[in-house]
Amino acid sequence: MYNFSTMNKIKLRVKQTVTMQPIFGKTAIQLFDEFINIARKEVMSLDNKQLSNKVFNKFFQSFDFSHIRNHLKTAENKLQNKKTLYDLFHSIFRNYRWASESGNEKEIEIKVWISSSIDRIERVLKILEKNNERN
Amino acid sequence: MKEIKSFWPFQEIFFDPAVSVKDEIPENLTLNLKKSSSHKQLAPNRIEIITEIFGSLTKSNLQYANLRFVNISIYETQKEKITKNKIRNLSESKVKELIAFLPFYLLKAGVFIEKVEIEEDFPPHKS
Repeated sequence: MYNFSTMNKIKLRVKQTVTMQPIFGKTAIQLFDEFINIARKEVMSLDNKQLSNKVFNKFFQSFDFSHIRNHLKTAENKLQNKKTLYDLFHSIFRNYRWASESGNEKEIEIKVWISSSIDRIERVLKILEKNNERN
Repeated sequence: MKEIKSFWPFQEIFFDPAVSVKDEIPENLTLNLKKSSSHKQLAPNRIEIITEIFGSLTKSNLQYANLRFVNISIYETQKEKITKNKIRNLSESKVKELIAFLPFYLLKAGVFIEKVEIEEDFPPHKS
């Protein structure tokens, strides 16, 4: 049935490493709220004496997340969008782990993670909306 | 605790297209796995455990494939206490189950597993 001689033989070494955030059983709204909670906690722990952190903090507190939540609510009703949103949040939480483990660079990596994740969510929602209109 | 139902609603393996079309997938790959588990109480005597397994096939620092599998298992419980440890152990058994049927998946990808070595390390758990 299978011609083993032409196949790539590989030796699997299984290394089980750190655990990750559960994503599959949650709705996009729940995942987004989890993201915001983590982001908020991180923002609170920034040293507010630094101007860059003060500015970041202020901007984050005044950001209107409700329009993102509304778009997520409509987007996640379609099956094809669910996979995209799953991929999106999977990589957002994975990037959080990487940012957290970046040693000296942690503070700036976390800020970059927060702002770029929000950008990505908005961008993905825009694309999904365009696709849905076309269909 | 009795397992009533167990299924895999998400099964995905993705090999790097650039390497695949040139038929250059190397030998001696390492499978790195990460898992996450969560649970839901479906009824007073029914609990659902979701195990998500994310993995990659690598050699040195290069990634050749990604894989993602999700298992949902439903258990009937008596009056016993469901501890975090119990859930983690049940999830571990699903990872082992995946390692058992993964070779058939990889066969279809043209990759034949010669040997499996399992290195278990236990980093501090952040539940």
